[in-house]
Amino acid sequence: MRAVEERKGVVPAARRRDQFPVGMRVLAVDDDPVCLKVLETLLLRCQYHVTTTNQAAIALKMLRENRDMFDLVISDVHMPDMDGFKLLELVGLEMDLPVIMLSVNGETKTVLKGITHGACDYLLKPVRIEELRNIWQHVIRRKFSTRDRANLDFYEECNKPPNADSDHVHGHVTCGSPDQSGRPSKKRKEYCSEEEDEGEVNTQDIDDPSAPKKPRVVWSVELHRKFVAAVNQLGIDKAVPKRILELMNVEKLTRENKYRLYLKRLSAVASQQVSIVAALGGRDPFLHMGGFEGLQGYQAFNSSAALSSFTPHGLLNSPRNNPAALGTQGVPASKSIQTMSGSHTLSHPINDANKYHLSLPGNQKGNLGQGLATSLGHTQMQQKWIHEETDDLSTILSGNGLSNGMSGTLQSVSSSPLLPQELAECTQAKIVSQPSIRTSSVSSEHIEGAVRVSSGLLESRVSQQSTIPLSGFSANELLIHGSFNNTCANKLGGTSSSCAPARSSNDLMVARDTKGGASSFGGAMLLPPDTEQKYLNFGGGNGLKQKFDDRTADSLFDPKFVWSSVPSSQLASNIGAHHAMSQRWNNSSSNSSNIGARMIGQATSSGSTVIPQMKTDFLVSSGDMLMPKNTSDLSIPKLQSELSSSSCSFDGLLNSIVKVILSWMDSHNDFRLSPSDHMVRLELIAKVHGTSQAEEYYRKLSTAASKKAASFPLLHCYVTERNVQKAETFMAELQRYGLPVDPHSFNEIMKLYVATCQYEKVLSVIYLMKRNNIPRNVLSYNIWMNACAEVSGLASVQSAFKEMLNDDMVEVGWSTYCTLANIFKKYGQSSKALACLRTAETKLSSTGRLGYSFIMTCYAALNDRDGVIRLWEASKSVPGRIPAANYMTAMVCLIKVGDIGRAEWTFGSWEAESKKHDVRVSNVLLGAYVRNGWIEKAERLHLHMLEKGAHPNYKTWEILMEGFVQSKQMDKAVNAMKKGLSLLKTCHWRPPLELLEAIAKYFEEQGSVEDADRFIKVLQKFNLTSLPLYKSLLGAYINADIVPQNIPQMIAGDQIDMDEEMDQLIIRASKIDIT
Amino acid sequence: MSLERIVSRVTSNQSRKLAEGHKAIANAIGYLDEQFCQVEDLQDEASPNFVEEVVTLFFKDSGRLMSNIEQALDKYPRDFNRWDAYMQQLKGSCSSIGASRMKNECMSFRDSCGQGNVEGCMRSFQKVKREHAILRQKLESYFQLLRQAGPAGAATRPVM
Repeated sequence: MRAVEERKGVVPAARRRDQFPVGMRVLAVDDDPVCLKVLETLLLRCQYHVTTTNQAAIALKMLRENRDMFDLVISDVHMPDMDGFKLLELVGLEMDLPVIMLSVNGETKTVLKGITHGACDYLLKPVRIEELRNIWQHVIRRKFSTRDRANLDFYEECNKPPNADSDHVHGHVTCGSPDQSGRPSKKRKEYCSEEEDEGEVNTQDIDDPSAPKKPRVVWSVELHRKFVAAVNQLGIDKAVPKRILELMNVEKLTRENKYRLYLKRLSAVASQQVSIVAALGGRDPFLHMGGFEGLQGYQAFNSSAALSSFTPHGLLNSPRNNPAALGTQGVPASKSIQTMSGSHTLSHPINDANKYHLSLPGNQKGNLGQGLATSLGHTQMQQKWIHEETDDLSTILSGNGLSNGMSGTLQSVSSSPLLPQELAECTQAKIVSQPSIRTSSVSSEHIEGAVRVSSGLLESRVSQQSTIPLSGFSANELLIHGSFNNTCANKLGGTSSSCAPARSSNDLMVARDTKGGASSFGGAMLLPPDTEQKYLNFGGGNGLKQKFDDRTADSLFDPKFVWSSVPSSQLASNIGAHHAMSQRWNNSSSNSSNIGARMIGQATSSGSTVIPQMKTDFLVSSGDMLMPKNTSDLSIPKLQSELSSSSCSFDGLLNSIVKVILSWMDSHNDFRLSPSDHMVRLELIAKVHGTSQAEEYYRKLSTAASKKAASFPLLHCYVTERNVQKAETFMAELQRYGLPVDPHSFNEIMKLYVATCQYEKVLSVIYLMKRNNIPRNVLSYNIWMNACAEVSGLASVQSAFKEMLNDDMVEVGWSTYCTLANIFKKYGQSSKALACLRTAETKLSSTGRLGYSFIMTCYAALNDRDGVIRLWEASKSVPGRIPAANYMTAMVCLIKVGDIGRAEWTFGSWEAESKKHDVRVSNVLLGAYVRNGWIEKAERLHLHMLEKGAHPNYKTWEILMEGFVQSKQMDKAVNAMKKGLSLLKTCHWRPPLELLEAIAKYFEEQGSVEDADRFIKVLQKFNLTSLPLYKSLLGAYINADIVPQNIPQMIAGDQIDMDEEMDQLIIRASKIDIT
Repeated sequence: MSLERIVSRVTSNQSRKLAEGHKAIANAIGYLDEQFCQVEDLQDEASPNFVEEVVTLFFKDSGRLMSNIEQALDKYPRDFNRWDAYMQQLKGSCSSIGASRMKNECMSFRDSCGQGNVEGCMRSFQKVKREHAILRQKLESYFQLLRQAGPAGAATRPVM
């Protein structure tokens, strides 16, 4: 197939050969008319064919509408309607065109941002014609590399050393396989000769198909570090690709590699959106910023993530964890969808008991972002399958007469090579490839996780195959292709009919099928927007058909189609209305229900089909609604009515969804549930009905395997409830069924002991683990060291650390060094603590933000301003948008070390970056102002945020209230309090008592009876009155020389007990009356 | 802008007006840089008034940008990010036509933004405005001179 396409590609290219790069079609985008005019003229002078626009949105529209009309895009960075980087990302993802960024701003940070977002070049204004004369090379490079990569991929997959080091494997990126994409690299041979005039030796360019293929360069973390280091060393002015490459000194690395691989990676980089503040608990983050505590918080989160059958790593989390980030990140639609689909394929099989291996220990979290965590890991995995199973695939396909359809499909979307690749992945992932299990050998926990995932996946697929006749199976595949070919109508018939027997004969679980649906849909979503509509329609039609099947044939409803059966119009109409809900979801942190998270994740997958038309902001909300809508298709109108009121609380919504699903599962007890399904179910039950019901369910489980699988969620329930006794009994019970061999249950119970301050017991758990040869992971060691510090002193901590260093199973990472730093700090050894943090810095991953934020807070706790600033600056090199939570952490830390100026500056950059005006970020600054007594400044900031359209939350009002009380502006304080109280519908805020009393005291001193009266009346409404407040009220009357009325009655009415002093006050007030 | 360059430009077809030419040269030096030459290079038969068009566009657009900045300075006190963003636009325009002195003032404005120095920003902005006015004046007289030299003036200058 490849050979044929190549030859085809040569013919038209040959005709254009003489002219190129004359007539190269360039789209120039700049909002500055002067620059644009000059640029246009310069480009024309280079004999390119130039189209200009001063709006990024228009540029995007043009590009989308005329996919093949341009060869290259040059875009300004700063544009009012759309950030140039966003355009860059969208273009990079949707059409794979080379994009050159253009800016007057040559700061390292900005240039790096351009590079990390996938710009093939970054030109500084004013642009010189010499630079522009050369830009055609990017077009050629692009075409080359897409082609070359496929070969190399294949080569690498075959030649990958079985024990590649983890970083290496994780950084591994697989890219498009253009031969499949049907986008042959035209002009390839022709331009070879023109290629070299840049003076840069591009090892990848001159490739003879017959020559041995070179292994692909893997953009590992190591490489990235080298790259960033090289750029920093050179300074941005001199950091030309050639010199960077020289400095990096990596064989076979070309600049093409760098940018493209990095873009690929970028898209998948896990944005560890965990709100550090949240992860560290509600306590004062400074005092308790123990590495361990944070870790614990995070780990707790992790395990819940694991429970929800999501892998705990960043990307998979991110949709739930911080949907806002997902929504606003500017991650273009198709990319995020890819992520989604990845997460589902990945997460699904992890229902297996093995999944807990994916709940990675502390240290690896940093690394997590890099590989497995990302959809790249996923991509890689699937790619592997593709390569290994190519033959099988084709036989299966041709065996079903599908091969034509398949290639046709791929060609039909040939204009965007990225897409078909994903499509291929998606499709092929479903075709079981057993060999892939065996081939990957395990070298680190990450890999282990990956392997488990794949094996799990395979398991489930195999089970499908075993029950479904092959025709049914491939018919499922056909669904997807059908949509691509836009021949849904005729294929649909065949599909449905062949699906029906498959469904009735298989006994797949609900969860399993839904996920299957989600993932397959996710893959399909990678369609360009123009095909999207068709696909949606197709989905809808299919859903209808499906329903019909269910009702008439009484076969099992296949929830797979639940997910896909939403007509786009329906979605679109829901999106706006439920945006509010997604907002709330944003705010709910990791303690949100597991099931909820999971549901949303799934729903999001299918919901995100609308993204190209809607905006990513609505991703989650559409997901939310998608699900209930479909659930209501399951003839459960109750839920629908519940859902139709958009004001219902999100948790409630979630719970009702879960309940419906549970009851639905109950009513179909002809399902045979697998152990992993039991586990999921137990999770759901625990979430919705509480621990006791979960226990009940657990007791009823019959098989040991099911019990074993379901044990972790139950244990987690106990730990969350801090129920030591039950947890201990349960652990003992577990031993009877054979102890779980992974450290996670043990970590869980150790966390419980830490939470209940029983540090000695931690030590005994560690002893038990050692005795039973249970491997300890990083978290185990961290907990252990903390316990040592609590119980026996530094020497024992150090011996534990030594043991950890000698343990080949764990890698000592930043989390451990942070733990150590906190221990040293606790022992008053600041210099050692700082040294540990320095070491921790060296262990940071360049893809996860968590570590940076974490170490930063540690520095803040040690009052090391330079450390805080250094970490914050360094964290900016992590690709991707900086989430608001990270800005908040940085601001909090900067304020903590007394650098409010810099905190303000950070706030400014957040404002410039973000589209949403998240009041939580400004609250940080607001609090700092108030604590410093700068109420005017605080007010200005508050007004500024209001102007920007931010919605103050109760915390905002509380801070302001405090500030006004401090500055004796009681009217304003009362107003702020009222505003805060008016938000009570959404939260359980109570104004701090001392502030209330301070206000009352003030009114008392001033003798402002009216104010005091009004104040008390407000408080009465919210049941906030108290004896001291009434005393102040009486005092106000006394001071104002006015006779109070009804006060004893009011006090009685509020059911407040009087005391002696109060009695005397009343008498005193009355005395005045008598005299 | 190199002296030699300006001499060749201004004097090529108008030795009669040598005295005025020198004046224009002396005035333009330091206010423009090589980018302006590049812009001039782009002028050809196809667009004989290209330089003047671009310069006119520049003054129109930079006027708008400057009034934006003026408003932002007034309306958003200490909003350095906003100020900086606006000034960056202006700097982009300046660099595109090679208005070097104006660009330098833009840069010092942005430096002040980075330091959170309101005074410095205000001062630099005043300077930007002044440079803008001076440049406008200089370029106007320059174009006037060129027009007097006739349309051939630009087209037939020696290649450098």
